[in-house]
Amino acid sequence: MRAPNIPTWESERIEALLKLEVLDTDPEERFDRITRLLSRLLNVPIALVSLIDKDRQWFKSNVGLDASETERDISFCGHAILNDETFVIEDASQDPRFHDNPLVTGYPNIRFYAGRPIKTNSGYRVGTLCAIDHTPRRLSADELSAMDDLAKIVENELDNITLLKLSKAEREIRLNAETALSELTKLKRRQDQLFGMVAHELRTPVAAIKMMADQHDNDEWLSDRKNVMRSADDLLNTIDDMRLLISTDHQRPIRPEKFSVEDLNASVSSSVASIVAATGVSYQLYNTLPSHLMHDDVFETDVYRLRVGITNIIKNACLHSEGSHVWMISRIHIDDDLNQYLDWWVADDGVGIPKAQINKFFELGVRGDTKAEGAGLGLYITKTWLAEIGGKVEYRHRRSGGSEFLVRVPLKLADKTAGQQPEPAKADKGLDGLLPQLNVLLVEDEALLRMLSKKLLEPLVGHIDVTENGSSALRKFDASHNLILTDYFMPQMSGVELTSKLRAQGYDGVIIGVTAATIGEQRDEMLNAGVDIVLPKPLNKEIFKNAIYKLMEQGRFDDLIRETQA
Amino acid sequence: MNKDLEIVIIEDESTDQKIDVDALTVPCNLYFCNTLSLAVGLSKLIYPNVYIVDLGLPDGNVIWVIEQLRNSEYCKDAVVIVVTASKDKSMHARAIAAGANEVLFNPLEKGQLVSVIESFRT
Repeated sequence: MRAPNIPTWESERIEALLKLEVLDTDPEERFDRITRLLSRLLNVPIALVSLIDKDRQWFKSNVGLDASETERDISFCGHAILNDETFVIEDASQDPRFHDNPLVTGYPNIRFYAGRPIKTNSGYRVGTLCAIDHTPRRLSADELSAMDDLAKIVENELDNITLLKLSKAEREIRLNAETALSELTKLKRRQDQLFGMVAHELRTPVAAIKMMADQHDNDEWLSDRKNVMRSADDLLNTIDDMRLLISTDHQRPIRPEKFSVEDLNASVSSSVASIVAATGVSYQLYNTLPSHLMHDDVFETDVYRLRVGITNIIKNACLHSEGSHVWMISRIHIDDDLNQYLDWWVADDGVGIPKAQINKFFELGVRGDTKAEGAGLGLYITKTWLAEIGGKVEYRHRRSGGSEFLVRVPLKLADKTAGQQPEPAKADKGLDGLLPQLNVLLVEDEALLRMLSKKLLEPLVGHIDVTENGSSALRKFDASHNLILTDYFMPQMSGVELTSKLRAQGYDGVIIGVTAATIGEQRDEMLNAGVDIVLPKPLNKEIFKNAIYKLMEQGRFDDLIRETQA
Repeated sequence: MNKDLEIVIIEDESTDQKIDVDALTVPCNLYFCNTLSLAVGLSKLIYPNVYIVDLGLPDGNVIWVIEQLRNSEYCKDAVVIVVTASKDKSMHARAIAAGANEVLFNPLEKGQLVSVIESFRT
């Protein structure tokens, strides 16, 4: 038997429960009618409103159970309050956590349990509304939904207890706060919608530029192509960052990847080239790592964060230092504990930074006494992002005049084998055989991206149909399509709705979601609706082939492969 | 130990036994330069305390490198340690005469380089 874990927020939870002053009070009809209703609706012999005290669960309302409380250690509800979702055990006798629980082996012989956590208005899960049966069973979606509705009524009743204790003035304050919160929530939703629209409008042309550059891989304009791709990536990343900055729910996740210092330095130099040219500053780079650590992809970190950090420092030096020279040195640093770091030392011969300003310099929106334009975001982002990858940025006054900034990250060598995606075409001949068998339905609302995506995929797959939104996709879809590629954001019917409808119709084939936001809500929505995998937008051949290879390894194309072989 | 120990390692492509970063168990900043001009250019910016000259060049060229370091305004006061694979024992005297503080012969023993650096820092 496994006793329920104690949540990290236990003391606050107990405080919220005690504040209700409901423990050990008499039964009340307003709660009893809910447990009676639950018992009848689900046709279960036992229904409870259970409150989880420090060492016990106590029943505020009880249908069918000959007990007023049990120990918390053996309680099912103690497990249920650990998460927001309804906690369901279909057959406790078969569940390793509960099979030897005394409530299973003895009275009341629990087999089935469903507990929907009850939250206080302060957000703490203090108990559950639960249903118990002596035989194993499964709840339908409708039954779960009904249970959810009843639990909300319990929460309202508990909330009313709190309200009744408040004075009239306190009730008014609370009402005003709730109204303000509701308004703020509406405004936040509108802000998110507005940003979503702006981001979508910006992403589409950039994604198209990137796809076009990606499809021209001849040597003649290779260097230009690299710059176009990098600039497009930077802009796409900036849009993502803006989205994450306004979102309270998500932060940009850390994405470690292999990199070489030589490539990183070249990329930074390329990013600052236009500013160097415009300001007329002399910029000099010294790569001073040993050659075997300089050229190859031997290091690992979130290279985007690191690159943005270093680039910001150099841009600042060019724009704000009022100097004529900027130097950057990449080197190895060994600290007192002999830990190794990668350093980027950036110096200028400008006016330096007054001591009084130094501590504030890395704060959001703070700008120094500079003649150049700027939002005061660069150093704040640099400091925050470097800290997120275990690094730091420091300022030092330069003995010979000017400023010194130091970007330092732990020297972490990449695992030579980890993350190495085998080149699908080389790694498995099965992919070469599979791709021509794919009959793709591509759903994309932007005409240019639709055309470019078709052009990208046509040489790879057997056949491709294209259409502009979920509604038209449902009309165009037929049983011969074995791969659906769908955009997220589309008029009339989104990729999420399309996926849900296809799955509801019984389509068991592969669905790939394509979205600019491969993190956060959009990705989760698509996965919950039933897509197999979510790919970043814009697509390229490598990303597509790797995804197909991955899905092939998961067995998602087994039927197709068997049919082809037969 | 001084926290701002700046060590410049001058080694060329033909060096057989390169200085191993992991063997440098001393708090410092490390700069690997494959040309003398890069080393001198850096010196104007970072004021190194120690140069380790690890060259697979003919002995005469090594002596020339030491002389260039000693003639540079930014390097003249730093410690210069020469690491050489030369079998010529007279190399030691010639390097010292040119301005080197110490000459070590490859293969280096474990900890040898660090103990020499520390002896000059104390």
